[in-house]
Amino acid sequence: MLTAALPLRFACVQPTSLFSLVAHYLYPIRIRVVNDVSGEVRWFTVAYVPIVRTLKEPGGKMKATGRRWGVLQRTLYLAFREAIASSHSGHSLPVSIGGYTLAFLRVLLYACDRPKERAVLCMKAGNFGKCCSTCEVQAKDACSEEGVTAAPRDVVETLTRHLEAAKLRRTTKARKRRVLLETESSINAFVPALASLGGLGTVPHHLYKMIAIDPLHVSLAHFLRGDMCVILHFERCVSAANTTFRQPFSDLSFSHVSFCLFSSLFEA
Amino acid sequence: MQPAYGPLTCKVCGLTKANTAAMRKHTLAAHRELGRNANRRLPPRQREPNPALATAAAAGAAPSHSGGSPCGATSATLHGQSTALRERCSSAGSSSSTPVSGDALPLVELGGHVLPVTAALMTDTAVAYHGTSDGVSGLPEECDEDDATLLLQLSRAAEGHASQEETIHPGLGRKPPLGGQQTVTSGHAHHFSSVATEAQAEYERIGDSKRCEHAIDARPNCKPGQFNTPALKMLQTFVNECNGSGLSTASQTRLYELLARWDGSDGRGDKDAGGRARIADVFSSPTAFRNAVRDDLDDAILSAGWKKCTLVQGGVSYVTYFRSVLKTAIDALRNAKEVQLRRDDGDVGDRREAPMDGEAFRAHQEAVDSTTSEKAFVLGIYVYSDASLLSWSGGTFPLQFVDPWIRSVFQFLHRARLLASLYVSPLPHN
Repeated sequence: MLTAALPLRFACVQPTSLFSLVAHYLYPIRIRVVNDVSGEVRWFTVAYVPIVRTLKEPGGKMKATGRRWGVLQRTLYLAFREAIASSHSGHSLPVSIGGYTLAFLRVLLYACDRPKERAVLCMKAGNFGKCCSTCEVQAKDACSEEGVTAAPRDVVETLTRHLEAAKLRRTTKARKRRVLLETESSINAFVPALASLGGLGTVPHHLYKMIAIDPLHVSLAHFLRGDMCVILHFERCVSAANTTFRQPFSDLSFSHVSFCLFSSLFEA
Repeated sequence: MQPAYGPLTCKVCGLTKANTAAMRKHTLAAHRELGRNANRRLPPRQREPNPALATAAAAGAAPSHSGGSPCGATSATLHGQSTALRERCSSAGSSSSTPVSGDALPLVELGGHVLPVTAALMTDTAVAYHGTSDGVSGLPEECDEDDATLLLQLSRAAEGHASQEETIHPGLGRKPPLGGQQTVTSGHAHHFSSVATEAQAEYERIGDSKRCEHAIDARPNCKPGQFNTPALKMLQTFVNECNGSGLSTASQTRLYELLARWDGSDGRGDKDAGGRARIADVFSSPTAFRNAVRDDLDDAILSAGWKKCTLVQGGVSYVTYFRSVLKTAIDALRNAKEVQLRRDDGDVGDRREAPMDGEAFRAHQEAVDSTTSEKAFVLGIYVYSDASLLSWSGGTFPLQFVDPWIRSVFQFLHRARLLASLYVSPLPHN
């Protein structure tokens, strides 16, 4: 019944308006269990995020953006709430699976589009500031030597800034301090819900390493606005991921993921 | 240290009061001669050293200046308290562990069993800091070797005592809970602060989980499971999947009327036209047919654990639907034909073909293994969502069907060795 509430209309027209005729009223979030090695890839819908439209009000666009962050993060937290609670000390299975009775749920991969990546990680969209979610490179240095040698993002430090900014936003005090925190790290004053999950906000701190971007989510209208500097920086990120992280995907081949990362930069 | 809240007993008349304020009121009203400091929880301020204690401390500290063991002073002031410090001193064979008389007990009220030890430790510390009866005083860094040993033993005793008190009285000395109810700590994870727990607390503070409810309200006296034959199940599948989103209620009514006319169960035709299995024999009316379809759908949604929650964000209400990721993942794992729970480095080697072969899974597994000693495994999941923009093909559309202009762009990337295949790997879609 819920699926029936998601009408999908598509018309193959000119590329620039390819995605503009699509209507969705709820956005699904799906998961796949990688421990299932039976060969059949099965995705399970775990949440439907309501669409947030821009209202006609003063500053409506900015307010709608803030609402989208909040709705997405709160929906993610509701869906992952039990997993978060049991991810640190394990979930005891009443009936063992393969002789094991303790399971630790971990998110290995989050496939999404480029704007969704920024929204999931509560980071500012756009090609300015620290535009990369994996390292501390500045947008103006993405094509220079600093882009190659930029330090990776520190999960704990960035989350600490998130928490402080969120607290300041809630108390409506020290606005300058909050703006400074947001600007320095290109973050929003909202805490990523997945940061409380074990393995992402805790050791091994894979919060910024789990993102893989789906290329077909990238709007071709944005595709034309590619920035060469960001392109080269993402190429470096891809090569670094290829040599260090090496996250293999059975249904998402690594070349595909490389392309995901590469194509995502066109949207920045 | 005695608790800072709870009932108090008057030292004079034995009357018990529920809290400090009531006891203060009783004292000022009934025992005005005692003054305002009577029946207080905390002892009155010590204005000068107790001569008895000072004498005892000097007697015990004397051997330390003559090269003896410093344990004597500690043993003397502890007076009967069977602490680890005394045991340590006794085992060391100290000859100066002479107990002092009861007069050497602290001058505080004996309201609790903690105070004597605390006062004794304070006295010991004072002895250690300010010297002994000879009037020699000095800072800790100016202490000699024996004094340093004494300080070390005192700190160890205090540490052991504090841990013992924490075990016996976990809520001792803390702020009284609101509403007079005892605070219940759930799990050890909340005793440690980290960014993960703070992020979790940030969302728990919002309290969305308390406002959740079932995704739908089942019909009163609903009867799921009426489509219980293969033919009826086929009919149900058709109703739910026809045209992608299933039949509307109006279409369901028309379908029922069609079937009833077809098998003659509508009463207007031959009653034996449809044989024994007629639609009206199972569902007496179109309303019963629609209710049966609805009851099965409601039952499926509720059994899957779907919930909904109304989120108020920025002054606007939004309704979100969700179910537990943990439960879904475990159910999927139980229903899987073949599972792999552990990653063996020896078997994997340099192979990177499956998700289980990845470095990410290994890192998580090592972190989990360092967390617990039980047999545990990593329940790894991939998450996929489309929110901002839409992938109309869901990642399953072959690129040769795409517009030639788009295809040329992808082929350009392919030539640049960034795309290994023109086909994009399948991803889910509605």
